[in-house]
Amino acid sequence: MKRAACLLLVSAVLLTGCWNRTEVNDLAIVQCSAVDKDGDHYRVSVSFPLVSQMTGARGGGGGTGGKEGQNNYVESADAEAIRTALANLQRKLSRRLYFAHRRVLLIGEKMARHGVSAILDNIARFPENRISTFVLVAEGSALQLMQTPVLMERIPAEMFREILTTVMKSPVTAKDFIHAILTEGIDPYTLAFDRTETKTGDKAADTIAVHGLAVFRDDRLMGILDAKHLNGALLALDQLRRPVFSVKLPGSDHSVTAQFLQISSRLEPIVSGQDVRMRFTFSGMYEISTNESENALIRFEESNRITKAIEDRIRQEVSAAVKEIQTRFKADIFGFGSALWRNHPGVWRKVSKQWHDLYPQVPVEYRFDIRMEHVGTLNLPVHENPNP
Amino acid sequence: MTTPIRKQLDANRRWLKERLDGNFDVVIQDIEHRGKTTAFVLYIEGMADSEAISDHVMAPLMRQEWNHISASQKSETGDFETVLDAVFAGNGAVFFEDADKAVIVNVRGGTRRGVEEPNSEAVIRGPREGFNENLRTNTALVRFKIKSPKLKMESFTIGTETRTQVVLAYMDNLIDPGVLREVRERIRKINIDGILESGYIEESIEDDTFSPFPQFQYTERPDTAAAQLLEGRFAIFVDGSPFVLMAPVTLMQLLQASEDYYDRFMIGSMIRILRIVFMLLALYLPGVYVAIMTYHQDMIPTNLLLSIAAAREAIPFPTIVEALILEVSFEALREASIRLPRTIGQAVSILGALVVGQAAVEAGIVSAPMVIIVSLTGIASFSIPRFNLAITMRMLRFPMMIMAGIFGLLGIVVGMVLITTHLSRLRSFGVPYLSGLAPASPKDHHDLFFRLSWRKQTSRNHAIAHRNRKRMGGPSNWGPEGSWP
Repeated sequence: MKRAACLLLVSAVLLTGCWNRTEVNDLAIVQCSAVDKDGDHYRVSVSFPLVSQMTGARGGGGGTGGKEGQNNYVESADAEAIRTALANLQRKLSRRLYFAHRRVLLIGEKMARHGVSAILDNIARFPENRISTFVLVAEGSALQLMQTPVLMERIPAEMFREILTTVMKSPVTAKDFIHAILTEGIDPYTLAFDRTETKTGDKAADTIAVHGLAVFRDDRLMGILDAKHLNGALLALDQLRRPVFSVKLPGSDHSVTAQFLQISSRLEPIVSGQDVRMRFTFSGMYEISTNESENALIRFEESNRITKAIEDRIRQEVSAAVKEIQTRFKADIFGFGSALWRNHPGVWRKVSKQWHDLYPQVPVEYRFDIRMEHVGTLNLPVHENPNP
Repeated sequence: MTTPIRKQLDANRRWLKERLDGNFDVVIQDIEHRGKTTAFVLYIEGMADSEAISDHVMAPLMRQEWNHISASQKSETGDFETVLDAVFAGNGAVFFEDADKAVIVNVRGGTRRGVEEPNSEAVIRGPREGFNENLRTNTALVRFKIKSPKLKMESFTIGTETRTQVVLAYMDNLIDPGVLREVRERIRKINIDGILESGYIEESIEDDTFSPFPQFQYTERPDTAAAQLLEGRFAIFVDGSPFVLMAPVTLMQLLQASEDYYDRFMIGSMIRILRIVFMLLALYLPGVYVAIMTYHQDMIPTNLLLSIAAAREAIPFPTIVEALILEVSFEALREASIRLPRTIGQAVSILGALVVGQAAVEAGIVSAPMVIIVSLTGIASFSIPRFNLAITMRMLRFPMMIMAGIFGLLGIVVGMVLITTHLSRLRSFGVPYLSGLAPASPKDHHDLFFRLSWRKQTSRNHAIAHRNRKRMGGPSNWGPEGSWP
């Protein structure tokens, strides 16, 4: 009896083993994928590194060897659903598509305008996908953007990822995106990239760059906020990392450049009677990185003047961006609604039905708590003689 | 059954000749006086000290000064069996005409290795002397450390043919009487023809023979043996073996080295934590690597995965096969370098590690990350201070690797559960093997993961010395702390 049980146990181990074993040699480790809308079809594209061409590969394995910059492979397929497109894609590949290491998901502009819930549903439903994947919008075709050759990084997806993390405090992930869609009174946003030309001397090359802020309402792209408003919008979203402002002091032609060491924004709704206002409070500290004026900045009143000028600049930039988003896109990416919901649930219940109509008219005010941390290692500007 | 010694010298000689025939090394030396044989001396060439025999036994006998036999120990006996036992232990025996007793004189000698630095347990700081093959030297080395009548040493003779002397040593006031009774009983029950190493005793009296884990600690160092005696453990000395057995043993104790206690306590504690980490690495690292590489590629940081994938690109074997090939070759290499003469051992390690390792990676037979994992595992297992525990970990990592290859991390977890279950069931002379951890005893934490300063080590290990836990009295140590408890 005992022996029979042992035999059963051993055969259970030996006969059923290795059923989902996969060697890394058989995986296509997808780093970046792109979804476009092609008529009524979805076009799904993936990009993965050819590991045999990467540095670090040793031993035999083919005599040709790849040219530099050719260590990445892009393939694409289309179908009427995302999953079927992926299945079509898999038919062209000898290695299993492996999405657990996807870092960036690119959504084409047309696709984004059509609505992204199909993509996000697919991501959240399939456990191999990471919902921490960064999501971004490609102006035009996502496939084309993905195919842009990148010289700076070993893997093109890394380029997107690194740009995102340098520009934003916490780049928008699929999880953030889904969260914003599901939460009442807040709409999703993310960065929009496009392909631009970079020129040094007479050599021109394509590269990728941040183009603006993609503003969504529910799961649909409403439009792309122009790059000139990007800083203001990111400041209000508490997403801008260490901004730099160059301001002219009143009554002076010379400018002073301030580098923020840190800046954060807080949103609070103010309800007085029937009126609802939103208040952004910016707090942070900066250091002086360039001083072209003739004043020593260490004096108290001088630093107050600079701080005032910077506050005015921030107010100007942010209010322009907020106005644009409120009136042109009518998308509540700042979460005015959800802030109201959290702080004054009673008020929110009354207005939630017609929030999208009310939202563009909500007045916004700004408060500041900004100070100069230090002026750098110089007190007087270098062109001023300290002993006149 | 005993045979009495008879009064006639000739009869005695005849009896002995009959028994000892065919042994060229047995010497029967007659003492003649006025043409008459008055006595003879029996000893074994090589085991007895021939100078002592001639100076202190033969010379007085020649002068007919019977009482002037000067040896450090003399005793009389009336039966042949006692005489033979004594003679084969290296003593001499003197038979006299007209006496039905023989005098046994201690003239033990013979050449044996001197007290040298122990090979298997080297230290930077600490005593340099080590046990050798001579039982008397070994017991004396411990006595030099513990000069107390409370240190008891009981002698047993085991082995129907080898008649090996085995000594059970313990501190009378510290040892658990139950453990003492049990070990005496178990030693008495050993019925074997020969004991050539302490390993024979170990396997004959341990609690669980089918456990891969050692239930005795062995040492070549008198200071380690003395320290364990002072913890309330017993020690077993076996004649002819430089290894002294100690029990009851716990897992955490096997991770302690004598130097933990000699170096500054912070350093001792840090190294102890390092050892625990490395013990776990030695057991699990190759298994975890195999599991992650074949089932859970999502757990590796992306850039690392790409590097490993690039290195593995040309490898023809699955990861588990690659791992088994390398681990088995590593074990073979280790075994070869131990058995070979030291000079050739060097060549083997160069050939094995440098030539074969390097060439195998370059030829694309195994991947460089795998070589790193196997080397790291090897180093980890060498950092366990007790060889018997290290080799257990090395053995158990093979089933772990196979479990990982079949079931992935699930297999590792199952293996972990099995090992932990076994360990928590295992006992060494009634003391739970995981004592300190399970059952957890916070009072032992001054000497478990960390080794606290000697000023704080006021009590002995609670699981073992529960009769007499107090190591120190009041605040007798000088110190600026003054008020420490």
